[in-house]
Amino acid sequence: MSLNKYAIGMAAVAMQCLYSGAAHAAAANPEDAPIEDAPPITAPANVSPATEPQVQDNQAQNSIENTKSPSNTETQDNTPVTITKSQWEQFLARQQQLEKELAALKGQSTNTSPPLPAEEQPLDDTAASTTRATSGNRSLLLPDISLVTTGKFNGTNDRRDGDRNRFSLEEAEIGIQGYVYPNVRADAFIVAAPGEGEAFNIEEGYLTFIGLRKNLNLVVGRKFAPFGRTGEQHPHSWLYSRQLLARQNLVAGENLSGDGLLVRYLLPTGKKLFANLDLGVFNAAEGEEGVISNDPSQITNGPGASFTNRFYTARLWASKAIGRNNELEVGASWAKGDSALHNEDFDLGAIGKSQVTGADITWRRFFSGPKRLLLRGEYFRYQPKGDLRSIANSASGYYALANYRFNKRDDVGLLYEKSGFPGNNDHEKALSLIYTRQFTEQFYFRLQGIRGDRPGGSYNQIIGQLTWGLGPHTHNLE
Amino acid sequence: MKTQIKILAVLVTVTFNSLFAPQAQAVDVVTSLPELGAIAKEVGGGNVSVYSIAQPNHDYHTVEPRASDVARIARARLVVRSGLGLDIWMDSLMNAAKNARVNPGGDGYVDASTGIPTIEVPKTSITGASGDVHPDGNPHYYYDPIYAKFVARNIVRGLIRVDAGHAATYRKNLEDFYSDVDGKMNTWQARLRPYQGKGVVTYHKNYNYFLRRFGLYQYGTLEARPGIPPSASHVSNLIKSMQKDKIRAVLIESIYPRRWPDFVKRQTNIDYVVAPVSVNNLNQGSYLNLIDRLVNATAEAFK
Repeated sequence: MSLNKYAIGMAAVAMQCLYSGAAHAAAANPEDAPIEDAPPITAPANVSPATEPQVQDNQAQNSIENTKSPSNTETQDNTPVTITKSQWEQFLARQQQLEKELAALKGQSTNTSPPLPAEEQPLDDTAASTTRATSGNRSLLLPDISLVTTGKFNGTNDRRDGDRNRFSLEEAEIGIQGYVYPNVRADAFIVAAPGEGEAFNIEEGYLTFIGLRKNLNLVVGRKFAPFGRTGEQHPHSWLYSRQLLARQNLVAGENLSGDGLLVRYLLPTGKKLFANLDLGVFNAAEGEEGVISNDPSQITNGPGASFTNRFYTARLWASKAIGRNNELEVGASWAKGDSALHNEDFDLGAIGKSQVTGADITWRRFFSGPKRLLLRGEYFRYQPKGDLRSIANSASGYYALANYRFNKRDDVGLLYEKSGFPGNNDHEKALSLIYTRQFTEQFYFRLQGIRGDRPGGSYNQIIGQLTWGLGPHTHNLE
Repeated sequence: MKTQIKILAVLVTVTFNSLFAPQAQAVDVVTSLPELGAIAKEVGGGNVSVYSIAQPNHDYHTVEPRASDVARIARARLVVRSGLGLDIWMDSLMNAAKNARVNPGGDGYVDASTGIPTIEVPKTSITGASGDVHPDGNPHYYYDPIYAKFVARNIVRGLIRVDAGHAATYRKNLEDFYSDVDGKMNTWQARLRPYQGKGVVTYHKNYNYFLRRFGLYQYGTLEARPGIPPSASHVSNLIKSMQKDKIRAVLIESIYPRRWPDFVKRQTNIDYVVAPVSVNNLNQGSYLNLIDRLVNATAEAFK
């Protein structure tokens, strides 16, 4: 008998469990009772004194708008007035006539739909934008337009450096960014580099289809390939003033760049671990053969991967917060593609494929306030394939960077670099001390002192960098 | 034997129940600021799991994005942003998260500033010389407890969109939050009533909404322009004006350096009070606690 009771109880629980979902689904639509749209103000804002001190030039803009005090409203006169019925009816008729005219003027008609419940209305910001855009303010249709400019002074005792003891406007980058469709974003970065004899060059120009499928972004166009921890960074975002030696010698002068397709997939690793896989196929944007030399005195930098045609990239990037104040990132990168090299000592050229691989690790420690310590290490390896092996050899390089931001505006860095050359078995190394003063987010000054040793002799170098920007300028997560 | 059968039946029932009962999964809510997170926690209650990208006691203008935050946003069902250009550092995280549901236009996107009448909207063109002026107005509305009710309402609308099953609970929590704020307003107003109409000097224009709400006003800032560090000439002029107008209250946000407040103290003998900028955590009641501390600090500054 007891068993029967429990059996019935189990059946009841099972039924409850099975149908509870359906009960939820059948519940009344919660939006049928929208949240009241009236501002939930119960205490009116008090009004500032009318005479605020003129401490700042823009103080006037900051004064709080005066609101009419209830005591200022006009006193109502309730004295009764006697008129005839015909006059009263005339007044009523006149009032109805005026109301009709007013409705016609406002473009209203009798079949106007009642206002939507608050929950069904578009978001207020969307509505506001639409209203303003249709009112003729075309400036609201403009994308984000920005300009970031970098000037540098390069003081060095290395006579092989073509920019020795010169100040130059190194690069001006115009950014045009915005959405072209819901979840489709367009970014274009047009660069003028007078030092390199370029007028204007489309450094990047691509569309990003955000959330094309779950966890998937698709990027189409000209883009920096995601290779290495700083592979997508523009120079103004670096924590140093010149390209890292290992990247320059073994990967690319600035970054691997090409026209193509990039698939970015966020691996389903839960909300506590970030893991992202990038797979790309590109045609090299510049496609020039690399130049190498066996003469140590002629070497200033290596040729990089020297992709001349199609190349493929892959990068896995993972990050995990360790507690609230630590962040550990690891990454692995690979790229392989058509390549061409020319040995200028013997006037020999070769075509084949080259492959570059990299691994990186970054640890960030966040202290109280703006203080932050960053430690980063990255390793690169270059490998020639096919006929390229006849004039080039494998080479590797690495760097270790420590950067400490000790207040909102100032940070110091220590950078050690060592790199080989694909053209010979020589190495170069450098130690840098870096100081950055950030005046605003888009305006900073940086000083990098370098003690270097490259084939043919050691050198001292100091780079003074001034970077300034105008307008809204954003990049992908870096 | 009978007892064994009973125990077995109970075990089977419990197992069956745990296997097939609908799992109450909390809605993952990511907020850009901890204050928004605290309010989301208040109105979401036990049905939400809240995470804030910016940590308490940081300058919200310059938050360094962390890749691990991308995973949070990617799995979030609701993202609450401050809007008004304060948390633009969220953009790169949102793009990397590849979660269209929480992007603007998606049902899981909430702009907490929606419906809030902003102050200090520039009326002339702004340039770098203006400092870090926000084109849409002062974004620090979340220190105004009445505008916190707007924020709570916006969040509840978002929660109902993504978790309609708990709509009644969210509405109840919202009403409770309204009541809590209204109840506290009387205390706060009574505490600051003696100082109504008086001016306060701050480091940055963080508390302008808050001061305005309680009948005070911001007299000036140590920053020469928003986001631009104080300069000797500006602070000297400010001190002269303060002495002339008998301004006695200096309220310094806890995240800023003390060099210039100390200078003002030496020159004027006015001791500054360090004021909170953040909730201590995201747990219930912490937003009201923040305003409690802010009201007390403000009253202290006038003593």
